[in-house]
Amino acid sequence: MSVETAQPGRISDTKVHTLLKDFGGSRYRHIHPGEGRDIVVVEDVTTPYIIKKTSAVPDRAFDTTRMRIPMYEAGILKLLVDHLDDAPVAIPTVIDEDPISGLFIAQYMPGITLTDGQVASMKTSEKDSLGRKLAQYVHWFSKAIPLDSSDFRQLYNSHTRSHYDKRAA
Amino acid sequence: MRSYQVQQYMQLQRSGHITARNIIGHDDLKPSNYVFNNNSNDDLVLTSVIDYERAMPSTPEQELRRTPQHGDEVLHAAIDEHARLTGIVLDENIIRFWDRVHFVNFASNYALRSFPGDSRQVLSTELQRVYPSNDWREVTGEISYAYSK
Repeated sequence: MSVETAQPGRISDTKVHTLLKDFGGSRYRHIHPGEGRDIVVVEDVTTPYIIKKTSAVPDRAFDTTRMRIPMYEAGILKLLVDHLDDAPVAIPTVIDEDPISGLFIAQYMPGITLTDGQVASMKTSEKDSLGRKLAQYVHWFSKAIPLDSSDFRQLYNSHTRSHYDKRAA
Repeated sequence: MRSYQVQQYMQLQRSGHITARNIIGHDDLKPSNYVFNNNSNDDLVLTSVIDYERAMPSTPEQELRRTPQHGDEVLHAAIDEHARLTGIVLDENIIRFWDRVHFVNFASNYALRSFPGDSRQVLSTELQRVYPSNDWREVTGEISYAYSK
């Protein structure tokens, strides 16, 4: 498949090839070309997955799918994985990893994301639902990873510049 | 503006309104990290949250700091639900305060050129939200006007 010329709202050819190199793939396709958004799917790997989303989101939505994530984020998802049954929303899990190369892939999360303005213009009932879900999520997260979690403390100290004990003080 | 925020923070802390970080939180709850159902015939429902790379010690008020931007319905529903779950009624003024702190942090980082150039549009939008009486559409690299307010 030919590489298309970079356009506004599209992932540049250079970026695509850099990401393909990271992922070990070579065949890919663009989704939603010409609609002001762009998603690239790698197809010649065991399970097709999306490697990047655009930052420009001029329209209502774009898909969020399997994505490469940092090691710290992968560590957080692993701390949450034992608490998914109680979660008020779906939480991605780590589905593939190669710690030596720093490659971590998070699970596909189907759905759409919205801009700030689009959320602000949601229906009243949708806003009520969103507020309640967010509160449930914050409460669930705080129970899933307690403040005194030694696993979190170790992860935080290993992957962030600031020390947990200073941050929590 | 910045010194005012610091004074406000000190007053709130002295009066006991701002508590120490008492939970571990996601720390980046915002629309680009909310995933909604994708059926145009149904009401939009939050189905997932993504992007966990900033998880850190936090407070419920800090976690919910973006809800005022979504509208009072979202803010008040979140406060009601949090009270139902925990018995603790969050102060919406503290939530709004953290929203402003987040904005000031963003603006100061922008001033220090810690962000790429394409964050200009985001800053302009944020300024318009916080100071709606001014027209910030033509904001350029200078944000001294914001600090003088």
